[in-house]
Amino acid sequence: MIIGLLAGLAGQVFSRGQEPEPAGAANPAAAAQPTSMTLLAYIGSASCAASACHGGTGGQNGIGSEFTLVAGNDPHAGAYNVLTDEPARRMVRLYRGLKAVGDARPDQDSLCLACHVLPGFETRRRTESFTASEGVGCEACHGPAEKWLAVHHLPEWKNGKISPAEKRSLGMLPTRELASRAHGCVGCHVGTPQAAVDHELLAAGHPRLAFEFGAYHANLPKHWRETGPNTNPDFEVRAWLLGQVVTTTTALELLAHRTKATAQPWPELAEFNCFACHHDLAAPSWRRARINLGSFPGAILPAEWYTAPLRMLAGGRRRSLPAIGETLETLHGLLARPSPDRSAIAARAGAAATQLAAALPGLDTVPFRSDELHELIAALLKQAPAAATNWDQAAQLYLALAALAPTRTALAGASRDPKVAAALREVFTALDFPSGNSVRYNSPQQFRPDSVRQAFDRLRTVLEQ
Amino acid sequence: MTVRTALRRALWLAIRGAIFGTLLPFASRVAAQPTDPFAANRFYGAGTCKQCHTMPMANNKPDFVKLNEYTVWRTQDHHSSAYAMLESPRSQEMGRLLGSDPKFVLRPEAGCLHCHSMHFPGREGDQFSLKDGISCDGCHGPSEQWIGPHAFDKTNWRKLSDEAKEQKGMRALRDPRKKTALCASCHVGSAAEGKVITHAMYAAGHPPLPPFEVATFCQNLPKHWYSTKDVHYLKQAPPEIQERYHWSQAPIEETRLALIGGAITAATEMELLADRANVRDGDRKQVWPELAMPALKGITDAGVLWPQIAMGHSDCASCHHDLRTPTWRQERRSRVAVGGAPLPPLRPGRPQLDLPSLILADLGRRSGGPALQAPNAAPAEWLGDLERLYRAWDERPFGPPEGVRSAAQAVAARIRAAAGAKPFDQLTVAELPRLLQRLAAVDTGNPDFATARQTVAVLQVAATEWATAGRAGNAENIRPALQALAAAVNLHGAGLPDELAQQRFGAALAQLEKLSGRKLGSENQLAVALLSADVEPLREALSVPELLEAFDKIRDTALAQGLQQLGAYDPTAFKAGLERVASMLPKE
Repeated sequence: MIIGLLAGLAGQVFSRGQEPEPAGAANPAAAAQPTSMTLLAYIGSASCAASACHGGTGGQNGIGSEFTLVAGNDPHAGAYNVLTDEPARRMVRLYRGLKAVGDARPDQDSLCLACHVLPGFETRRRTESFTASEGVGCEACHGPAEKWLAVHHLPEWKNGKISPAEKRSLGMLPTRELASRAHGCVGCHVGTPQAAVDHELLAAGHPRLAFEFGAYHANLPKHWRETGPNTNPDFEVRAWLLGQVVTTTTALELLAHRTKATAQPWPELAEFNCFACHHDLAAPSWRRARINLGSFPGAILPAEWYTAPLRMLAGGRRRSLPAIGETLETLHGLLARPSPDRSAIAARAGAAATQLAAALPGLDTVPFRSDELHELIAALLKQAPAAATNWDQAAQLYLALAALAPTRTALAGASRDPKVAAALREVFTALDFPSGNSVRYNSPQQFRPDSVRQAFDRLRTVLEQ
Repeated sequence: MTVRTALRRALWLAIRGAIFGTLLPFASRVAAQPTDPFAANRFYGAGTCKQCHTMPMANNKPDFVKLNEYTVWRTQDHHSSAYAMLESPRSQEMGRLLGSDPKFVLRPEAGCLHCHSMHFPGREGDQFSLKDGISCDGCHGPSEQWIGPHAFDKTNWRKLSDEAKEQKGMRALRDPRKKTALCASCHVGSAAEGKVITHAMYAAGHPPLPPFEVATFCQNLPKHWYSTKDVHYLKQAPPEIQERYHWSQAPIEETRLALIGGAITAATEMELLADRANVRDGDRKQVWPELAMPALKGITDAGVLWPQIAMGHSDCASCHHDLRTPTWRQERRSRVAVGGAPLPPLRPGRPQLDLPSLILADLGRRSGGPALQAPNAAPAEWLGDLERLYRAWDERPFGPPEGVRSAAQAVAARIRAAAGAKPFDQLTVAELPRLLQRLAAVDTGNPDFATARQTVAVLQVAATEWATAGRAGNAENIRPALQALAAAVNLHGAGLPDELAQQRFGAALAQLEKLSGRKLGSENQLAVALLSADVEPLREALSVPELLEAFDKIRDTALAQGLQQLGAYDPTAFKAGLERVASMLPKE
């Protein structure tokens, strides 16, 4: 999965920022989500699929063919189908401690359905027309259609006579807003107290969730056309930054829940760094060199995927970013203790999530300038030597630079620099998971800090030219 | 110095020593009996033993012991460099990582000295040096009271019972239970003695402790004593003396050692786990050396350290493996069945307990005589406790310490009781084929690497003894199949792979040649050089930095190979290999 993410992203890197357009108006949409949609019913994607509506077969920029595009290209459409496959049954057998693979029914397991069909599947009202087999369908992102299906094609819906607030109250989510999109993704791709991938599920065979909104968004086959501020050349960077804030908020909320809920086993190993433990033992080992003072050899290292980017950004005079760095450092320190203190972590994580959530409104409304990105890139590259000892940090740094560097070029009005693309590609290669004919790795089996550091060094040289 | 003059000098030294020197006072120093001689008597050190145990003299034929023990120990046995290795580059790095000081490992509170030396302050005799690592009286017992009688009153000394010798502080090492208990106190650990290896020590660079199998490890020392059946003195001794040395069981000595020792080792593993999990009660300095790390300064409650403590008792590879697809790790359903009864299925994502010798305790129980009558008799009582242990351990990652402690303590007691049972001892050579069959019978579940290694180790011991007894029709056929299995689980004839064992010996020999100023081309030349040199320069020569560096490198090479095998281990392939061996054995 990570390979897919990175491979897909690497492709994206080269095409980013190719359509520079003048900076548009700031996105006026608020990031607020409807607080309760449990009363509204889900009616199923079949209702959207009429050929005259969203089930067309082409047309201008795919308008009218959204359902068709998703069904054909978007992995969300196949999310339920994987639950009927052998690997999913084996996974659930292990996870639920069942005797035989035949006893396992992932396609009926509420935990699986809560992300492979609909967030909170069991608690949602669903009409008879709704079938789980559609996978993650239209309403999973756009909201329950019971009330808006009949009206959303009317002229009043489109000409502004029906306000965004009214649309939301009818159950439709404002997916034009980046924050709304990100919030839609993280419920499954990061996890919530109701539906999360814990270490037991990972060990049973579930792929690791390592969500990075900017990259996932860039890789998702589009069934829509961007408008307004979403067409600005700094879009990728705004998406990256906003995605980090939303993602980290959600991850912190999940951490707070896991530490607060006494019924949860603790330590929950999914809150720790996968590859700190999961590596073949070898001699000699480069890992001893990274044991730093203040820590001790053999400590279980905290996960950093969701905190590394904001920690790397902390300290500088980043506009509109909450001063969260110190809190995240403290949290990291608490998690790295020999026996992490649940209540202390729960309190800090909850407070940090609130702090971050408060910083969200308006975060993506101020356009980025080229010189600001220049400064940001320089600040991030300074972190490279330290980040290179840790795959999660290094991969997040790569994803950040892959969004920032091409955008800066575009904002400066320059054309794409193949040398930057090649240098980014080199970093990617140093971080990739190996795969061969008979075995595929889901861990960076060939990860060496020296190679990663050198790759970042070369990238810096190219970017400074 | 020629060989002749060296011999003369050595002989003279020995005589002078015996008559006027160091030995005489010991002979007369039979003071009031302390209650526990092992806890009170002094250690006279290898330098004392060197005089008689370096090479056989013309007038002193090796009719009981080999008389070259010092030579073997000093030049080949890793125990002699146990302390010196604490000064090697690797240990200095460990010291920096664990205690911000390259010499941290030499401080008593670090815990290292408890296994890497004979750290008994106040009990040092004249020739004792901490720098000799684990030397003669480390295993044979503090020599203060027995060194005299065993050297000067040999005839009577040999006739004494184990108990009588123990009263003087000499350990009965031909007794499998006592021998294993001693070795396992370091090679597994002993919380009461402060012999504890921690996850932090591993992470700082200590090589993983290989699963301890006493018969194999003794062979690999290399063994510096005769097998009972080869002791010339015993061949001619009257039956009552012979029996003091377990003469009637001599043909099956090694297998007995492996089976009885396996149970003792398994019990030791369980007890160590129980003691370390007993976080509310215990000597903080002895039981939890983690607390000595400056980075954890301020922590006084061992309970706070539990996940860290528990990691030292977990199967390394259960967490430390690269994530592969496909993987056998997601296919496993249950643990190795012990006693033929199913144990609770593995919980995905839980680190696994490291109890490599549990299988040995079970093999021992299954091989219990007389004549292997009841292979699956009465396992239920300790299986219940074992199940409780696994359930506690899986309740959350590493389990709650109290649940782990109480279950581990109960299992340990069951194994101790089984190991003490008489039928255990009554195996005969005639029963070896059936025993081998049972050893090779594939249990359900996927054995972890350490369990697989223990199984092969005992199989090898039993198969060798079967072949030696001359009864093995096709022992030659199973040997290659067994060797292939052994190689896959990193079991080597001399502990290290042959080539590395030779390199290690060569490096030590080179230092001795430098010291004596000439080539030491034969065993006799080497022994003479050792005999004629003083203890101190010998010790110095064998702990010079360049030698320690060379030892580090050799060990790193062996470690790299071993870890690679650990990573590549596949229980499916292992079980297939075991089935191949089983198919070559005569059917029961």
